[in-house]
Amino acid sequence: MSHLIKKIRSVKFQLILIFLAFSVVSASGIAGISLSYLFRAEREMAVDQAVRYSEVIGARAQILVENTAKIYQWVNGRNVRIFLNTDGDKFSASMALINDMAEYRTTELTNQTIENVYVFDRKGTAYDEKTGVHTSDRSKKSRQIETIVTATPGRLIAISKDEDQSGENGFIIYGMAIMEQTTNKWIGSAAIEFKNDAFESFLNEQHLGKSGSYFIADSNAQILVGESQIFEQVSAPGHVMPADNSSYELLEDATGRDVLCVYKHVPNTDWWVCGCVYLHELMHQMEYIRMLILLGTIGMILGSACISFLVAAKLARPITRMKELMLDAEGGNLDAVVTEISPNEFGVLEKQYNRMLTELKKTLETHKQDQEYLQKAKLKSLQAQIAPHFLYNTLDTIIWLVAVNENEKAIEMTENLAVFFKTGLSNGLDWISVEKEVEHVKSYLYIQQSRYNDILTCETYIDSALPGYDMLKMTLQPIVENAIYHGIKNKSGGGKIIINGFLENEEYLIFDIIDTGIGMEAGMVDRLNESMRSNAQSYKDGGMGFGLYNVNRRIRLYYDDPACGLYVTSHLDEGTTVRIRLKRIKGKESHV
Amino acid sequence: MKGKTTKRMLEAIALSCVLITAVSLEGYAAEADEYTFGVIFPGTTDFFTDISKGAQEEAAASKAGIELIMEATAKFSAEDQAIILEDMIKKGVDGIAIAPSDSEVLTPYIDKAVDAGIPVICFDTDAETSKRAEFIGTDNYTAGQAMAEELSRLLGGKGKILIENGPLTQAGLQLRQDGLIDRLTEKYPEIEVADCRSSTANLTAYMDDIEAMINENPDFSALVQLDATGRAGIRIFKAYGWDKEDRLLAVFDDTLEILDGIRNGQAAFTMSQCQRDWGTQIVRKLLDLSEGRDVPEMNYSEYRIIDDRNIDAYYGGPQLKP
Repeated sequence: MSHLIKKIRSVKFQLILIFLAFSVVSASGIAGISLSYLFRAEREMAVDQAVRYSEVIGARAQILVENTAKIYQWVNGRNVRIFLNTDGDKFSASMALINDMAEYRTTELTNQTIENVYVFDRKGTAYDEKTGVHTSDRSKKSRQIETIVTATPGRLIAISKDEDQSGENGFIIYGMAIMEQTTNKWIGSAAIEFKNDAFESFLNEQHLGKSGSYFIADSNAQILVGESQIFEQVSAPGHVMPADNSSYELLEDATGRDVLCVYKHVPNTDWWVCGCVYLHELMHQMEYIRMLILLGTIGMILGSACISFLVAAKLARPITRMKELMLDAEGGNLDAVVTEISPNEFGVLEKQYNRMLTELKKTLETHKQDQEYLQKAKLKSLQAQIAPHFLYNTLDTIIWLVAVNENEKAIEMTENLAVFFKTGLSNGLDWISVEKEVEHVKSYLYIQQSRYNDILTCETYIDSALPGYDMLKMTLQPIVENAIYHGIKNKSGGGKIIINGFLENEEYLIFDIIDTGIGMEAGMVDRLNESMRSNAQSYKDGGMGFGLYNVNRRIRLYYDDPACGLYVTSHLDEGTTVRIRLKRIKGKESHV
Repeated sequence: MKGKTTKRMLEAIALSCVLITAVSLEGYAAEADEYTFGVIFPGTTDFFTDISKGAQEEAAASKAGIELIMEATAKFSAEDQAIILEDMIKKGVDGIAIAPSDSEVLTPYIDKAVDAGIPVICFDTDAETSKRAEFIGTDNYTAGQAMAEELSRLLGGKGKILIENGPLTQAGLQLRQDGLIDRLTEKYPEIEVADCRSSTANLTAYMDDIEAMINENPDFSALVQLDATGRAGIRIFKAYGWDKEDRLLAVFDDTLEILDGIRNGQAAFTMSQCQRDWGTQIVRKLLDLSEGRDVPEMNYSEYRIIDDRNIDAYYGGPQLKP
């Protein structure tokens, strides 16, 4: 669980989350807004188009009506009236009518929409263009049409196949009553029969969605020509056509689906050209676009998810990497540096980390080495303190003195030897008082002087302020030993050793070990000083035994002050001066 | 150097284009022999319009470049046709086709044209004694005979018929009448020809004839019209309210009103001359004659009885002979 929480809190995860949230929100927002606008726009377009088509059909229907109007004029013309008004032998009136109609057909009325024209007088005589003059009971169709137009003139009537008494495919007629102009008496009727496909053809010319259709209805919403099951479903009884010339309305069917109905009134008639369709069929493009938008949005979200993963990973990688390296370093691997520096701001961080780690490693190494050296130095110093050779030789000298009855000298030598070892060992302490260290070196000098009687003399001048201070032990004697064995011993006629001790600037203790030995050449002196200044360690000290180097190192180590240490001056055949500078340490405290 | 090569290439291409164009133009020139044919109709009814359509289609489709000058008289007049003929001779057309309203009157004019080196073809009505090279049309005598056969079949071998014909100066009409009456006399003596009239091509007079005959012979069984004015009979039958059950009406030719009359039941049948093919033949034969080829003298076309059994196949216009 905590692992999970940690993961959630991680930078990478947070980045991913933010990125994703943003893209989801914006994508959904865009999708939502566009969809809603699209829906509205397409609905408007669909409705517009349906209305326009209905107007086109309405215009065609209007042309039919105008044809009707033309025939109406003919029907009310002279020859028809004469025919209607003639009793008895109607032959010449009929001839006139027939000739008239034939001419009329070729000049005014094309064959395309009108199938037949009927005229009925009220006395049982009928005329139609195809059959000519006949008694109306001779033709079932004539009879049926006469009945209809007499009952309901001025209407477009559609007779279906089932209703057609002549057994044909049904017919569409428009009936008119013919009135005598002068007396207003009703003298007859006429009917125009339209070709069966006159209406269907242009009703079917326009598509309306997949299952929608155009049709012709009267003002009581009764379908006259064509069909529309949808309209029959949604149109309640008593549904009346709208008052406007051209309009639309949205209704709902039983299942709640939206139905678009468009209406176009045909002027001067009782006819309405209507269209009826399920709205969603006109908006199929909508479905398509909705699908597209949906897919697009999903795609965008997925895409940005992937990208966000990649980007977050890329951004967070340096952090993760560094975290791991740090853990590694913490565990002890001081080589856990960043191998590939990032090119961005992280690079600065990484470089700094690398440097820090390298410094740490170096410091630890140095420390280790120093510790090692210290151990060795301690060991050596211990050895020096024990000074076995010096002890053997001195004991030999004492034995000889006793053997030659120089008892006073033997006693003194033994006493000095005791002091030498007492001060040298000093109970294992590193820091002793100046007084004690001077005693140490003085006792050493006494013994050496006794042995090398004719070649060694010495003088000691220590400032009275010094003895109260503390200093690092075993600093003076090795230098003096050096001076004797490397300086004086090899000089013919011997030499002198002078030890000066004084304060410098109230801050440092200075001890000058001056010998008048053979000295060193300038190059050697410089090398020496340089090495000591840089605190070089050397176990090969050019034959100087414990040597200047090591004393210098000890001083540096214990005093931790680069100003402390040794400084050599020398002139060949004249002598050498080794100056020891030590930091002033108050006495008594360091005896703890 | 590159510029020069391009220039040379362009020149070569241009030259080739010119050559190709020249060659093809020459080819066209070789093909485009120009002929001008004159066609003289006796009237402008649908019947002749059909022939004209046939002729125009053939002229357009022909590989030879044919120009048609088509003329028709304002009224049915041989003299007017003669004027047009002379005019065409003067124009120097390459060939003339004529349907003479009066063969006798027009024969000398036809000869004049032929003598002037213009080949002449007669169609619809022949001018046999003239120097015309060919007659394209119906064998009217046998057509009349065929009508007699069909009538007899429909009448069951007996009845009373009335015949109305167009102007007998048209030889073709006379031949039809002869063929009809001869066959009836020979083979079907029980069919009586109660009356036989002919009229000028004036519709009113024509219809008056028919009405008079009907009034005088109220018990007639069939009315036969031998010219193209079948609509008269159809209209009259309409006025009487008759159809095939009441009286038979047999007519000639295939105007739209006649075809409607067959559909609506007024006319029992019509004899169609399939005249659209005449137009095709006119142009082809005139071309043959202009190019020095022989043509047959008598070029009879097919005639066909159209009634309610085959009108659906026929309706909408005469079928072309393959």
